[in-house]
Amino acid sequence: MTAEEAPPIEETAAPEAAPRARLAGKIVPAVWIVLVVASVSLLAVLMYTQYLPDREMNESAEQSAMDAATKGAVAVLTYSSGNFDRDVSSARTYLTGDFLGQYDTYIQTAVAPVAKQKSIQTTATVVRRAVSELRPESAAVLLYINQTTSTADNPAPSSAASSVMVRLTKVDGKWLISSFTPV
Amino acid sequence: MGDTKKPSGRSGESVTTGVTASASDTEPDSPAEESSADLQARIDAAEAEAAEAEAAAAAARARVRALRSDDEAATEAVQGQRPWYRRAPGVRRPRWSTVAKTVAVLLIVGSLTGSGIILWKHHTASARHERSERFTAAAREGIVALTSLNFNHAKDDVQRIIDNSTGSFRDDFQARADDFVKVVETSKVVAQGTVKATAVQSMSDDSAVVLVVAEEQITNSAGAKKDPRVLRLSVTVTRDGDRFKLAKVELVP
Repeated sequence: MTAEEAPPIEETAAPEAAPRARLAGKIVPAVWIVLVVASVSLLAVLMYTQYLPDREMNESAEQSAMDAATKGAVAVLTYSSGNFDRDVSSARTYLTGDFLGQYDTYIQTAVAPVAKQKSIQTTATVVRRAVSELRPESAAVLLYINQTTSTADNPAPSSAASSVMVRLTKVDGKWLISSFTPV
Repeated sequence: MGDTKKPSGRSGESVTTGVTASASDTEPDSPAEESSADLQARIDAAEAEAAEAEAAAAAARARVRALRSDDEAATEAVQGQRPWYRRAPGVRRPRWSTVAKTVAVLLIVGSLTGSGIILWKHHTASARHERSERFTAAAREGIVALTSLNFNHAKDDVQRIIDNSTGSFRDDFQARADDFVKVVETSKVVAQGTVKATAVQSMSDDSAVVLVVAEEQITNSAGAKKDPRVLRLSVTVTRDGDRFKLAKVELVP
């Protein structure tokens, strides 16, 4: 009985081993491909969702936002009658969006008439600054500003302290002031 | 080799036939005639054999020359004449599956390392962000406590300020607390502080400088009626145990 049964077992075992090897020959490369695709995709996803946004919110991004806010605020608040048009056009380069329109209106209606009639000179300095909020495309910077103003009528400079929340928007990779709100 | 053996076998055959011919020829009548013819045949056979041997020698020389020039090319290659993309002699072309596996391993290890670095950096950045929010919240809470006072419960208010403070700021405040309570009670002060804006100026693990703009509305017996006052503050917050507390409050001129 066993001698008769033995050959069929051997016969079935041998053809079974061949497909198994063929199957392994397909599965092993597939596993490699899956591993490569999975790890490269993971890197790509993390790159896109974490690395790139993080890079726009690191210390150097904070620094560039603060620099833009400071320069822009100083440009907006520093002008003199003798150099008024140039001061205004220089300040405009730091502004964008609605605030640019508001600034133009404010300058034309409130400041320009006074600045051209009397000799007026204002100088702004930023005494403290810090980032309040930072996103890849927008930022808010809190500035403590001291402004001194002297006019022909009143040559002794008067000073004013203010705090301003400057909101910035990134336009073509450059921070521009999109709102300027005294706190 | 086959070429050289064949002619020698054939010439051997011709020699033996020559010998048998001469043996059969010596017994008949004209041995001189027969032997000269036999000699001529032998000379012809020997000459053919020599020619064939010469040809074989020439072939062998040619093969040796060919082998020598190959060898020269090989030594030249070893001495650096071989361009970089040519394999060195003796180095077999790696199997494509080996190349594929190597590339796969490099890709997997590289991307996993990159992913690890990104995750670690992201973790650091979000931990930093979280810490800055805690400092900000502590500064906000401390300043609201500091600017909100009611003569009806002045003692509790002052105690709250002390609870939110640490270090020398706390000591100074505690030392003046009784006088402070008295002033608040006698002038019937009601002050309500609100924080208008905050921003973290600098930060370390245990300490931060936070800019806080606060507005305080004061009502008192001296005639103030919710008179607003904007305070431009620089607040130092430090870790005190598991809490962040005010360590220094400055009015920025």
